[in-house]
Amino acid sequence: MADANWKVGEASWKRKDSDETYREVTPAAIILGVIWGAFMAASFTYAGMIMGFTSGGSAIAAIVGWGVLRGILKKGTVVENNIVQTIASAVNISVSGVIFTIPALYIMGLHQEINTTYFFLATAAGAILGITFIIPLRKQMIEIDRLRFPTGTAVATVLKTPGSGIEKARLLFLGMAVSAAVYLVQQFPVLGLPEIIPEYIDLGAILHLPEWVSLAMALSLMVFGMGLITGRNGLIVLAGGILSYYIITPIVKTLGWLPSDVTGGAISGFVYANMTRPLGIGMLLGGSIAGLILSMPVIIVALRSIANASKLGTGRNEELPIKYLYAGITLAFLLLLVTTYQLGNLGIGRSLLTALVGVAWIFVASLLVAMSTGMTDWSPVSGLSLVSVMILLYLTGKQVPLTILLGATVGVAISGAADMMQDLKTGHLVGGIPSRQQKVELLTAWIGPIIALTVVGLIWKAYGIGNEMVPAPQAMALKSMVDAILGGNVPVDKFIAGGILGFALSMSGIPGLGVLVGLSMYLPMLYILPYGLGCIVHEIAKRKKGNEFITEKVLPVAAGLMVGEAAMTLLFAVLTVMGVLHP
Amino acid sequence: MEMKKLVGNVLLTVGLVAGAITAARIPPMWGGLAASLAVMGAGIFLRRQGAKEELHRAAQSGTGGVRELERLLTDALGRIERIMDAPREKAVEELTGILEELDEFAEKAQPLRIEGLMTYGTIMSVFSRGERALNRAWSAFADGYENEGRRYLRYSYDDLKETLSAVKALKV
Repeated sequence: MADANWKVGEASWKRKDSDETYREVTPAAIILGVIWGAFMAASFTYAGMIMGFTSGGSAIAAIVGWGVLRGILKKGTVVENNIVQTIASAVNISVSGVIFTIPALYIMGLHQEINTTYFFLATAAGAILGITFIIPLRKQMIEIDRLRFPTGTAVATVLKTPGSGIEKARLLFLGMAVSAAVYLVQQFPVLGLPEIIPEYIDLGAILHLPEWVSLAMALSLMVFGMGLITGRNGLIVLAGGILSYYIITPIVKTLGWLPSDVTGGAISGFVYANMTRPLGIGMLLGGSIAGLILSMPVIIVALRSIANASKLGTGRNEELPIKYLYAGITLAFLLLLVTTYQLGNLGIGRSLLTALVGVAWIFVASLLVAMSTGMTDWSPVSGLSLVSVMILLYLTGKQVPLTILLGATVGVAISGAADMMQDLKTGHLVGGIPSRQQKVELLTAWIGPIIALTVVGLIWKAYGIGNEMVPAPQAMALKSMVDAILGGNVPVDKFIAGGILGFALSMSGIPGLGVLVGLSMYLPMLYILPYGLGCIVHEIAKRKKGNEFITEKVLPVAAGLMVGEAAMTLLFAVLTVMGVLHP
Repeated sequence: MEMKKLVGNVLLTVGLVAGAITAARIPPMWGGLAASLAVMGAGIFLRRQGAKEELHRAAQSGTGGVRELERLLTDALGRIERIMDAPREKAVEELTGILEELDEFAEKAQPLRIEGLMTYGTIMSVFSRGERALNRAWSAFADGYENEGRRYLRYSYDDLKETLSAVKALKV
């Protein structure tokens, strides 16, 4: 019986049980994943309603997993920790789907029109659908199209670090330390200290460019790290950003296509909000639909491969059987149908149509976010929510409470789908068994919405929502969207024009081109610049030093940069929840 | 870059820029958008033709075709055979190298798309299963679970052999 002897820096750990079953789905992993996921979900729900953003938390869960499984329990394996982070992020991720939508009901005073049970039914339907739709997409995107999934790759690096040798561990910790330190220093003003490193720099002002030229860059090492892992695909996003901000904006200004009262620094914001962003959303949709059509043969292969997996000998069926997909879709469809029928007074025919279109839309949206995160790590959730609200308002006869509730279903589903794909990518890289990951996710993902909904209710009772204390910026944005749509102010023509362009681009033979260019028009340049810089560094390093250098040196540093800032984000979220910080 | 593909790329870019500008106006200039789409269409046609010819050349020269894939797989299979009974530490070290080398397989397999997406999908599906088995073997060895490591080493060997057979069958 061989001794396992781990060494991470100066720390070492020994185990002598090599004959036992390989630890993967264990009670320790499940309990730890749920507890840590619940902690992150509660923290990010509250902090997200104050600060306006949330985080997936997979990487932090992986680090906590090592701390508990190895540090405290003195056991634990790479794949067991993969289960911990899969569950923790599954429980946590639905937070964004809930806090973007449900608080809007409270702000509008419409929350009492819906029975609490339906909140849970609708969000649970979303959690189930998001995961089940991933079953065929996993094979296509991870195994056949080989998408990068930067966060999933970074988490795999964290999971494998103890066995990867001291050099890789050092690089990972170096990246984490630098990133965490920079973020901490940037937050000095929040802590009542003088500003030393700003959160962004305005290169346009430094270079004395006209104020309508948007050339500000976020000083985010996490975003830079995402670019470092992404590489070539991110260069297309950078090119698209240049097209959007430095070609279209000046031409539109020169041609006099702007309202006369839009001048100076407001020009860039106007073009982004009214021209390029809606075009980008249309491109994302058109590009993903073309991608779906082009990928149909591969999806057929993927489904056939899943169906044939049971024929593999030696009990090696590692795919979640296709019946789970059908069962999940049926269950979620029924939950949506019941919710729509009971709440909407739409009659059975229209309720059926709403539930059917809802399920179909969630599939398209899940495909889109999975493609976007797979190629770049960015997830266009707010843009998709706008389109979701538009479709649902039409389907429900402009019933706002029902629309927002179903919007929560879509939000939970698509954020869950993106997270599941990242976790499955991690699983692929560490040798996790996909069916086990998917089963634990199905068993635990419904917990997140309950926690998030409970915290939202408690916050409402304690402080109210949509005020100075709890501004809930994402829900306020959704309220504005609903108001705009009800007022007939939706740029449908831009969506259609963008959709046609995105569709055409994706037929070019460059996989996902429509989605990538659409994403670049949708994202603010503030983040495209550091991300693009990371992609450029990746490509230069690859050409000069080769692929091995990327794997051995660049990847651990980049993973560390992402994890360090993510850890600090969670810390600040917890400090905010505890009342220590008042952002 | 081959001329046809280069011209295709230029037309695609010009069409995209013009299309994005005309679509950005409030309301969009639909006529301008249609003209831009025509330019993009021509670009896409040339680009796809050029890319197809380029992939054929790569397949024939062996820089990314069947021969190169055969070499990668045969090399990996040989290296796996040598560590079937090797000590755990040696297996982990060697597996790291094998996985890094196989990382190139997907990029070099792109010419297989010429044979059709179904063929490409089938080969990549089996290959990826083997790759995941190798990853699991790495994790199990690194964790000290030798039995699991050797079991998955065997699985990966079988899957990569199946991939090699499928790649060889393409020649016929």
